[in-house]
Amino acid sequence: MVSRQTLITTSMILALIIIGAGLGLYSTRYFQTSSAPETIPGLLWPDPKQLTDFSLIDHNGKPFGKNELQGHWSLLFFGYSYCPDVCPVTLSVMEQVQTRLQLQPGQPSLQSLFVTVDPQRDTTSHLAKYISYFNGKITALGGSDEQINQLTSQIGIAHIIGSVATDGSYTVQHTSSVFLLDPKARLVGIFSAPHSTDILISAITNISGFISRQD
Amino acid sequence: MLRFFGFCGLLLAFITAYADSSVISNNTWIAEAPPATPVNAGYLQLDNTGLTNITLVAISSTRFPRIEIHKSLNVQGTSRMERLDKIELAAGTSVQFASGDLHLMLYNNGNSPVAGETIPLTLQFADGTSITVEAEVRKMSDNNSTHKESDDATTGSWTDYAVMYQYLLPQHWLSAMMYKITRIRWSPLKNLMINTFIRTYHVDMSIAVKHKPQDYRTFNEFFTRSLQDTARPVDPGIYSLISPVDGAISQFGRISNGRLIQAKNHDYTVEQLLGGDSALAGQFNNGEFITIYLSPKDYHRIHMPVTGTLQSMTYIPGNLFSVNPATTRTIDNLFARNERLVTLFNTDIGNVALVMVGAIFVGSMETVWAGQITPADAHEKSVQHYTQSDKPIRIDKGVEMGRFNMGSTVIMLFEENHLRWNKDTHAGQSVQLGKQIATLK
Repeated sequence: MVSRQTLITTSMILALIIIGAGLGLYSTRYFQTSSAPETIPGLLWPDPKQLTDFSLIDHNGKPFGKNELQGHWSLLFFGYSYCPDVCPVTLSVMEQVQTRLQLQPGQPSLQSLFVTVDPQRDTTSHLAKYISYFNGKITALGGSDEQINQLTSQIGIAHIIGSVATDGSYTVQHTSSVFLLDPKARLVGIFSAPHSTDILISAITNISGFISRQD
Repeated sequence: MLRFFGFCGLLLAFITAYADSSVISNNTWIAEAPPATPVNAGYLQLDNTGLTNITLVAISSTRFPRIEIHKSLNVQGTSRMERLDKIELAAGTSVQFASGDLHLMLYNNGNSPVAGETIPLTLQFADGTSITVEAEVRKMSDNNSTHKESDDATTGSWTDYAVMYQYLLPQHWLSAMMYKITRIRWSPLKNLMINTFIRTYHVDMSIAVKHKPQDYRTFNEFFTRSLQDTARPVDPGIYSLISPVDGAISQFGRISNGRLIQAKNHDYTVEQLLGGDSALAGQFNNGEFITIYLSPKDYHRIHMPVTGTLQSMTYIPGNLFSVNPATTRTIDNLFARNERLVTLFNTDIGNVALVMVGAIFVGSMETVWAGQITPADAHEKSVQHYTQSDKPIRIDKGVEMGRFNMGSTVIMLFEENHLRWNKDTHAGQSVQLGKQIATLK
């Protein structure tokens, strides 16, 4: 017959072993990430692409170029307002990322940008109405085809207008990825769909932490 | 003899329990759109709980001038939409609409609905029937953040209670019982069972080698009947991967982070599926998987999807939950809990794992080289590895490799970057043995 005392001691030892093993596992993982930065998901490093100047118009009609990227981290998504599924879902995730990061002290300053790839329908006034839905957390950018291409060609993405239906409607193929620019206007992160608030927040935190240690 | 009648009653009860014919639409909702957007996205889940295949051909509503079915395709990071004319839903399968995948595109004509509205939608099917469902308008962001809770909340619905009762059933005893019943040779009872089954499930006997119930000695012989050579031609293309069974695609896609999908928001690891063999599981990292559900009316033999040489076979004991769509959505790690047989083949596209998952009423599984593996009355309690003999076992594409003695599920795993699924492949699609489902590369 095993005494009560022995039983308690054994369970305590077992519990300690389990906690110890858990901590060990955790710390191994932790140190692995910090010593092997290339394992940060989405990180584009080394040699991140330095963006050159471009000139777009924001939804308030003000010019928006490379200058407006300096000094902030920027989350960037390309889409169009007539897109019912992927675009509003992604933008609502970005809105939540922006809201939650603003509430956390010590987080880097972040701006969220939506660049239209359908300038024909997404005029400045249309974009202003559309983007107001996201509670002022996202800035919408538009301009002429050439102006938009100045930015998309640097990031290396394509957008293609689909065939036009009899009623004049059409869809646009565009990248579903979200991009991260650092405060020096360098392309340092790319995240592919499907997007989630938690994944984007942890990616931004990890990447900004990593880059602040590099420069 | 009385006992036999008892068994017979039990069997008929289960057959008829299967046999309610209907389509259910669950969790139908419309995403509120930002102002100035002329279209809304809508989502639903369709369950075909009936015994025949159905085809959704149109959706209409007085609130929207036009509604289309679209699929967002994400090809190498680029999103585009494709319009679908119809959605085919095989008997016993489900299709889940989701953001970034299947969705309804509702043209609101400038009169955009707001969160809180309820809008009736009418779903029309190819057979002329229709159902009307209430779609609730919700904010997209609400749905993002409350996604998990709302999903959990559905565990209270009646179908889920109906599923949970299986925890209480003496599953192995029932399966053992079924094993005995399906091997009764007394012709009046045996013929009655076969005839009832054929009528209930609309089984096409004209393609079977033996057409008449009396030609089969037992119910099981009928259930695992062979088909005429011409019934299931095998795609001869040297780069084609063929469906190994008659059934319906439950899920398919990429194995990411060692996990594969059982149903929406339910995934499980390859390692669990393979009985904890992490080395073997590692071979399928970033590979592809496909889960195919065999319904009772289907042909129950499994043929090789591609020519392969047997490497190993492992029997993993477990529960015998049903593998129908309702259960698949409710019970976590279902396929990694159920009794299963993992066979590994070496092929031109690397190793291919073919997993036969047992289910309630699957009396046994058989392979052509080892015979019966899981007799329900002699239950193994531990993982069994079968080492093969000196003579290599090579089975050609399209040739039988095994059979289920009652309906169940087959899961195949492929290594990274070795195949491309057919463009029109979708969950819920019915597949036929021998037809190409993917291209090898």
